[in-house]
Amino acid sequence: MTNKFVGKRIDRVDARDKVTGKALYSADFYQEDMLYLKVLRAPHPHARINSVDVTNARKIPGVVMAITAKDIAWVKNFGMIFKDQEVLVREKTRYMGDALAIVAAETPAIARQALDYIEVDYEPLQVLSDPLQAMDKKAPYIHEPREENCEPGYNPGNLLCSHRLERGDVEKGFAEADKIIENEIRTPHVEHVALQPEAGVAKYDKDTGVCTMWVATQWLHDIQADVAQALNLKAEQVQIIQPAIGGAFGKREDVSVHIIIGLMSILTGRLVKMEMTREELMITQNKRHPIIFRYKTGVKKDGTITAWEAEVIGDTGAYASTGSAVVHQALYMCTGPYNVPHLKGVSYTVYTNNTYAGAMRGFGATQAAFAYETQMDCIAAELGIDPLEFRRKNAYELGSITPNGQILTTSVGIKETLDKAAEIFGYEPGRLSKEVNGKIRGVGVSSSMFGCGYGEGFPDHSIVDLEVTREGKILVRSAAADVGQGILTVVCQIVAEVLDIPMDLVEMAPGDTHATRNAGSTSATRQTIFSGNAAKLAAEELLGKIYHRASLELSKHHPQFLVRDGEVVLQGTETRISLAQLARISREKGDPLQAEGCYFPRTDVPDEATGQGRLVYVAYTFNTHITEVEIDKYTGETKVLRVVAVPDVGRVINRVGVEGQSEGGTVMGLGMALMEKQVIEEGITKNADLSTYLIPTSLDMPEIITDIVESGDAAGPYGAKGVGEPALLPAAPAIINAIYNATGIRFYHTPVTPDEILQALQARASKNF
Amino acid sequence: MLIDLGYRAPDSLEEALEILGEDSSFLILAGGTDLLVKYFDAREKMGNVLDISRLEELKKIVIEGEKIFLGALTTHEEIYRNPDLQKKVPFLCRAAKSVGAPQIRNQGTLGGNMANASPAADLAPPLIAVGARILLAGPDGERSFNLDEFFTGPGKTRKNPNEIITGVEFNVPVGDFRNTFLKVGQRRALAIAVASLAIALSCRQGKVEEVRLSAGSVAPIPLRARETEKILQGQKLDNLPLEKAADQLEKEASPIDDIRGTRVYRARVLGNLLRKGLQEVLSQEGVSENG
Ligand SMILES: Cc1cc2nc3c(=O)[nH]c(=O)nc-3n(C[C@H](O)[C@H](O)[C@H](O)COP(=O)(O)OP(=O)(O)OC[C@H]3O[C@@H](n4cnc5c(N)ncnc54)[C@H](O)[C@@H]3O)c2cc1C
Repeated sequence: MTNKFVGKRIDRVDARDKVTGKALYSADFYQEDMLYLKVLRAPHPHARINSVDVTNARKIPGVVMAITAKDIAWVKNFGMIFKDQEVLVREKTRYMGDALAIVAAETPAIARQALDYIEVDYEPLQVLSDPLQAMDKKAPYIHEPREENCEPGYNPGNLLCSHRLERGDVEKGFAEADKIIENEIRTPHVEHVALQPEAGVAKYDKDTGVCTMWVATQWLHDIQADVAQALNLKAEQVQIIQPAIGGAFGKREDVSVHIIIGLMSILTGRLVKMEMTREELMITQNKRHPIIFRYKTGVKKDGTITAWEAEVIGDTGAYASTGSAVVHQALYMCTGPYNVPHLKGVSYTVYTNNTYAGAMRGFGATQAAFAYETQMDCIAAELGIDPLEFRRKNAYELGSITPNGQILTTSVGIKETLDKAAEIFGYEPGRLSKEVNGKIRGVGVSSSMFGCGYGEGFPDHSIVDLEVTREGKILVRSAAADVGQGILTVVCQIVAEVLDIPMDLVEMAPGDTHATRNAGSTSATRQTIFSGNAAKLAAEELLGKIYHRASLELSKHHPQFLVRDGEVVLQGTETRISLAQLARISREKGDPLQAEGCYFPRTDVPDEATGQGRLVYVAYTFNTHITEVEIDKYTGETKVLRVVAVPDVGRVINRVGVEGQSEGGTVMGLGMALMEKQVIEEGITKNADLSTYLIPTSLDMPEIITDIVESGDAAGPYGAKGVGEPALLPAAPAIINAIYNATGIRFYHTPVTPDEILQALQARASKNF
Repeated sequence: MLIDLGYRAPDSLEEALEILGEDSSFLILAGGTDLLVKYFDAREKMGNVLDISRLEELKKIVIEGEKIFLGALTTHEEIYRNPDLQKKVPFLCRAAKSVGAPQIRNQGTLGGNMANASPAADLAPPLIAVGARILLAGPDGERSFNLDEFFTGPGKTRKNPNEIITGVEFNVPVGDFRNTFLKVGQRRALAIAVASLAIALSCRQGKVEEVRLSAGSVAPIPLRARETEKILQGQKLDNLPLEKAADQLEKEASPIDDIRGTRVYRARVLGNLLRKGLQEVLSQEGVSENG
């Protein structure tokens, strides 16, 4: 049977509202009598706070409240994995984003100006901006030492955690190798630059004891839990309603304004609103982790990899956020989609006084992809093997074993992605750069893998509720956050497919902790798999209930009728019952047409000492890029000309959705390769605005051709896997590898600037002279 | 604590000058693309504002033969789209087109670009290279300066606070006039120059008759590279001392390190822009001397 909706090019269900301006973002909420909040941030990245005096700020007309940590002794710390972050800091600041005081005022301008009247007395402490320095036993502690988690020899106040990976015997593997290649590869702090700055509105109802907030988040129920525990409330006393979300990319996995607006709505008894400025959120909110990879790889002359050793050091900044998970994911993905018989690795997650790092598209796997694809390219060059051929030779196939020891039994399309990309690109093996009008062209290859879902035994599920409404529409209740990637459309497509009804008869209820059930986070490239499966299960159950009710009403068995276009049709007759009618009858009979679907797959917790497990992630998505760049010899500028992107997504649900993710991921990778770095020196950000922190514009866009491999049979609905994060992974390394192909100059970090390229070109020219 | 802010938007230059004569603390507002960014989130610190955007006298573009006047309120978009300017001074149009993005080009003005006096102001190098004079009007009368003597430091000019820039004027060289503008930014749109270079070359009988070079973002002010000009002056077009000139230009620059680029890169790339730019102008079709 061919699908009507699944696999097709489907317009996004939220597109019309967003394009016409009807969609409401949290910053759009306005009410005449609301209060505006502003937060005083740290005066120094690492300082002992002697006092914070708000006396003068309180005197300003229009200021309704100004509080410090002293006023809220009852409020608890927050944090996603470790509760290590204070709502208002008590004794010391650990980075520039730490909050010292909150002002509530009648206008935003008054609140902003009141901050100037707050006096802070502090003593600066030594700032630790380099994770290698912070790990050292002699470094001062940023947090209270936690001996139980710490490696001997490392700093117990600054080393958050470590993880290990081991399979086979690397010494044996290195002994078998003809060549051993060692490199250190680094990535910097990167900002998500979601379109919408963090903002939220909250209101506390004294009578019900419920604090209701309109604020974007990638996971309603987890943020609800963290807000509630911080404010000493029960979870049901915190209601979060999801407005339209102006992008996320992992940024909105963390608490931002949530606890502050909840707290101030309770303290003032009024509707409060807080909006961060771009500068404030760049300094305050999570970053992509800078990670150092130290790789040692053994290979035979014929290009067979024999052993791989990795040391991974991630700078999680002042607070843990999801840092421990991000950095160990970088370790768990450290060899990419390539067969490695002997493997050993360790990762360290380290506190510094930099802006804290957390989730960002790829969650450690992006940094890892840059590292292993750089390493793979170096090895290919060293062996004189074509880079695409070298990847192909070592790429996973059915039966391959991931770094975590998972044997891949299904949906391994990596080789097909390499072949298809080569074909579409017109890839010439052994290709050397060519010069056209003072511009040098080169081609780069990169592949990647990504484990979908939280995996690793972490509770990971989604529940979707369906109901046939009085109008005969299907109402979908899901807390899955659509951060722009299109999960709402995917869910509607699947429901429409199963029930064989037009998509406009499927309606999504807004995400709301009190009306929709947990869907987990929109992260880990999991929503299509998790909420997609839950939607499919729910729709199938609902279809069963429709059959059941219809067979009672029609006194026929279901092979004799079919459900189509919102009606039950008795085949070969004029008899039909609309779903609206059927819903009414069902309700009257006390058995309403409702159904739920819950997808809760099991994964294994990897062994602590070796990182090995049987089923660590529910699916793996692969993606290959072949990219052509052009470098201006005079200026060192790199222009990305053309990208062929071929992801293996198992099965396509929404074709334009996959293409959109692929194009967006490519541009984000272009930024990462050539422009993006939040410069943090001694804990202080030097480019906290969009005129100095640059991301690509439409004029920087290359031609992007996305073709899709459907290896099928993956864990998601219809055999799908996710694509959101994998879309980004190969983009940056393909560009850096293309720069190598063009110039013969290897860069081991991102971003690569014109300055560095020009310097390297001239250094080489003078050497050859 | 919120101050009442003065805002005036006169209809004539005369009236504007009267206001400035009475109170020189008024901040002049044209397109606002520099000013409103500077006072973003701090409108209360702005004080009195004199909005000159209604002054029709300042919106004119007058082209009489080779003599050109551009009013201070001319926008980047108007410069870049003007067919006469495209013919006579293509490098000025190229510079205008390189500014920001469409919104900025439609809003930002020539006068604002000059008064703001950023070393990166994109219109400055081609205007200096074409020998423009900048015209000022104040309560005490009119003054004018050669543009290359107008800037005194980052954000500083010889203009008094109570003077309004009315426009710039220049004569397009007659005969075989070749020019180009090259800019290195960190991306292809919305990029402040890391370094830029305007080259204006008047040629006669296969020789450089007159040359003016002006560079952006490589000195505290838009740079007029007189020493490098001397090296090229009078030289044969088919045998220009390219390397010597590029080396001299690197020496003449005094760039700084900032978030957009390093000192070393700026100097190095400037030399390369001269190499690249001179090759480009040499390949341009020379206008025949009689024609
Ligand atoms: C996103 C963005 C991108 C940009 N990109 C570029 C770029 O690529 N290249 C570039 O050169 N610039 C760029 N700019 C800067 C700016 O747009 C230009 O300098 C523009 O020409 C300023 O003109 P304006 O009319 O907007 O000036 P305003 O902001 O109105 O004024 C700027 C200054 O000039 C004074 N002033 C204005 N007009 C007069 C006058 N007639 N007489 C006396 N004083 C006056 C004002 O008092 C103020 O001090 C960018 C700005 C932004 C926001």
